Amino acid sequence: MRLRSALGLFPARDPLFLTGLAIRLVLVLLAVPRIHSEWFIPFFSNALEGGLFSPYSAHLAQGGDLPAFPYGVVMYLAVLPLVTIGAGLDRLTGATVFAGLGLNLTILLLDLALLALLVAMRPAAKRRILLLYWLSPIVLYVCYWHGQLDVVPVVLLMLSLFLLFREQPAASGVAMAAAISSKLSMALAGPIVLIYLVISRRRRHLAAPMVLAGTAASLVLHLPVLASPAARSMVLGTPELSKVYDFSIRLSDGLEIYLLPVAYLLLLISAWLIRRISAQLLLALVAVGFLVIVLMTPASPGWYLWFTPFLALTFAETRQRIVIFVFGFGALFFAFHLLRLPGSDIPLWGIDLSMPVAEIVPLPERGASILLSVLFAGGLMLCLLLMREGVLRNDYFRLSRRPLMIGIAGDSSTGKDQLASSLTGLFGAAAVTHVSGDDYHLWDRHKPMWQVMTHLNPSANDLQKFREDLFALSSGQTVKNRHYDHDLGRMNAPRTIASNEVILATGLHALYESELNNRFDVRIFLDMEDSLRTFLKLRRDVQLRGHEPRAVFAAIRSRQLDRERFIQPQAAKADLVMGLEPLHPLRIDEVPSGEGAIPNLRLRVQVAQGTPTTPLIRTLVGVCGLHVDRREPASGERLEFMLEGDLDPEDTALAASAISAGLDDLLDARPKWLGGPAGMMQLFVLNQVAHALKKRLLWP
Amino acid sequence: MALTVFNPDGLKQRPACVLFDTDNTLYAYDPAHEQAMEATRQKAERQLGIAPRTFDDAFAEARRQVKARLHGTASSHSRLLYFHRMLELVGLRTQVLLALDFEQTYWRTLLTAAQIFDGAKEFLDDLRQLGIPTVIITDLTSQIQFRKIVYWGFDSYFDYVVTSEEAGQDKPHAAPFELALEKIGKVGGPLWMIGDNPVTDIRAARIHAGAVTLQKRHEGVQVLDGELRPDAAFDHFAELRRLLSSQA
Repeated sequence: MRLRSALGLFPARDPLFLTGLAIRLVLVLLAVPRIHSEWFIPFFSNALEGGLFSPYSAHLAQGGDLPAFPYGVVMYLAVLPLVTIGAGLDRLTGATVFAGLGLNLTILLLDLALLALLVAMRPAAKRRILLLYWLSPIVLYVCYWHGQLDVVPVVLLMLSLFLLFREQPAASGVAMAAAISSKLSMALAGPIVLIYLVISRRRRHLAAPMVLAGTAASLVLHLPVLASPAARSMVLGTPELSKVYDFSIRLSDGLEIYLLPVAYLLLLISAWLIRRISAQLLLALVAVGFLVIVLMTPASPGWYLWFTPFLALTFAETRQRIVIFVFGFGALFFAFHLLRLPGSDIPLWGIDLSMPVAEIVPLPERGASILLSVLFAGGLMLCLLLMREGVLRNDYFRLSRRPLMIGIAGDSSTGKDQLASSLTGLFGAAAVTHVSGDDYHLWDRHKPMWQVMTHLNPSANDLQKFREDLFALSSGQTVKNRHYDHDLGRMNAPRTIASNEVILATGLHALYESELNNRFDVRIFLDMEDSLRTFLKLRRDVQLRGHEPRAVFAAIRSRQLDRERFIQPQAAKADLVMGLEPLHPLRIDEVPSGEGAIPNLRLRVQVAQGTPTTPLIRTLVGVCGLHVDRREPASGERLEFMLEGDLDPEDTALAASAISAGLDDLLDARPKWLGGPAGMMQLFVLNQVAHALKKRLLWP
Repeated sequence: MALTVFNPDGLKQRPACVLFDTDNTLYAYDPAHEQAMEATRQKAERQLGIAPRTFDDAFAEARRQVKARLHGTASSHSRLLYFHRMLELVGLRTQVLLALDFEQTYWRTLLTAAQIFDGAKEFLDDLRQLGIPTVIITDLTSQIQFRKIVYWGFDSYFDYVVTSEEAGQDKPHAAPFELALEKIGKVGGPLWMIGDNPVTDIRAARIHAGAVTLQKRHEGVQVLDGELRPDAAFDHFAELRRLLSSQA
């Protein structure tokens, strides 16, 4: 997505956005968080005075506090530009406000960038994102009142995931390394992301480039810290790291069980055991990971920011009551920290609001602890809700329980294998297992039995094994079968076929047996107008396989009876019948060897009644500019459409978005959309798939 | 944000028929157009190496020429003619396939990017339930306007569509309005016109159809004074729904 179209999504005029922006601008201009004036600004002043390239040693050499800036190089570089400009202005004007303003503005810009990323990731749920992130009391408090810099690592981590979902693993790895460099704790997301990549066959190939690029970038980014003793003591020696051990169960012999690593490991193991993790569930898991850290440690308030954007993404399409709950949790967080921790000065009005409220108005005994307990309960509940929401939306179509089974039958030369390969291009080769009926012919091509029987005769095929293999694959088992080599006309040695998310079964008799037929989610029959079928068969057998035209014609004639008896009746059992027709009938006597170009085609599609077609047809007519004739069926018949016109692969991609939400999860990250009739077929099959999977959800 | 009424008398009675402009009245045209142009620009850069700047300049010039030649007719808005001329202007002579491809890229992006204004369909449904006939009266060629109507499912709401292609002239000419009045026949009550453009929708409908005019107000739309001033201006279709339910 180009920057321009990404910005087009940005809800710049939404009242919720403007409200959040107004609050931010007021705070940016007026508030000077105490941790800025005591820690961050002195650190940067010391760096500017004593050495931009060795800020940590410069800071310590000038007597700066050790905990002033426990962050890595990336954080330093992110904050440096505007603070430097501000410090310059301070020096010029003799004021002391601009460096702080530069810091506040840096936070605001990164906060905006994070919002833009979230909106780009959930464009359909902008308002929810605004409510759950942009107006979150946690974000407002952490960034603008307490003044912490956690937005820097979080925006980098989110960028890393955004790039990963777009299959840019190297860039994603670099962003992840930058996130970890700016705040070590971001590394906690790493193992979860790795599990997400490795357990899916579709995504496994992304793991290596991401890890390699990430490691290389990490080395570069961490080297300056490791090389400088001052940086080591400030960044790696931060007392925050030891908070990991704060919650523990003491055992009698001096040993302890640390609760945080236990909880985190449990999360990793349960992620590992999930068979299928969608992008949605990954986001929820990362949120839970961060929440666990916050709940199991005496967390600094900035840490609450880590999970807030992930929370917003996970709950972007959920029930309103959960949104209210999340907002309530934020408000409670706000109240608790306002009571306990220093906030901001308002120097312009000479007001100091930095004193924790509890120091002015003492809380009743146990008051703070009770508040914390409620916050803790809310956090635990959030963990549960996140897991529930993530798991509910994960594996929407329950593909990890049972593969999607598609049966494609039709006479030879009707395009079964082309359709199978075009569907493989949509679902992704790594997610599809293709079983071809050709591999179940009983005899090699030169065997004498073919003189008395055609391939179209069911007895010439091992349909029992075909059925058993598909049953086994549909329940997740592995099978062994031979493979028919069309060039040699012979079966190869048996090979192992593993089950997968999608099982495509093509064959002359794929829909022949009703027991197997019932097992398919989608039954497709491919037909073809006679003259076109003859033409294409001639083209394939004469031009490609080198057969004699006369032999091909004889074969066509000899098969006619079997075709009518065994093949065509399968059409009645299909949910979807598709057939190509030439725009003008072909004269086969003019092309006896099948030479010449394929004529212009149109597609006849018959769809079982009950399958929704209106959104797809409207898009094909409206967006793609196709001519679509619709024939009203008699009761019990199929709906019939005749489609004509040019269709670009880009048209196909856009039309697919009209079919069903939730299909994304089923498709490859970069589906190979086709143009022309092949693209139209892709769309009608997907439409049928969406319908079948929805039925499966309703009547499992 | 509320309904601004300039002429309260005109709005006392429920309409007997409502005329609608389409582009920028039922959906925000500018952002969708911008995305569609961007998609086409990118395609031209990818396929032909035409720099975005060259594309923009040639397109603007092509559009100017086509508009000057076909002023006031539906074809003067034809993206196909704009892209066709643009390709000639960048020195590629006539490229039929590319022009068709660019046109299709433009429209499919515009259609999928365009967002129907909130409440528009609900308002149309209110009119349908009250038995008030509705007519689309719009510039541009029928082919693309019909495609839009099908894609958005407006065909089940509107009783008639009048395009400037069939009327022979663009708005603000009287022809499209006269054709619309001819199609609806006699109406026993006030006629409303809902549009965004002060000249082609507001003033023209008042002069040629005697319509009570309501202007859709959003970013980029100006509500003007004098004879260009509508009888009312609204930001959200919900305001019209409330107006309708408050009328006897």
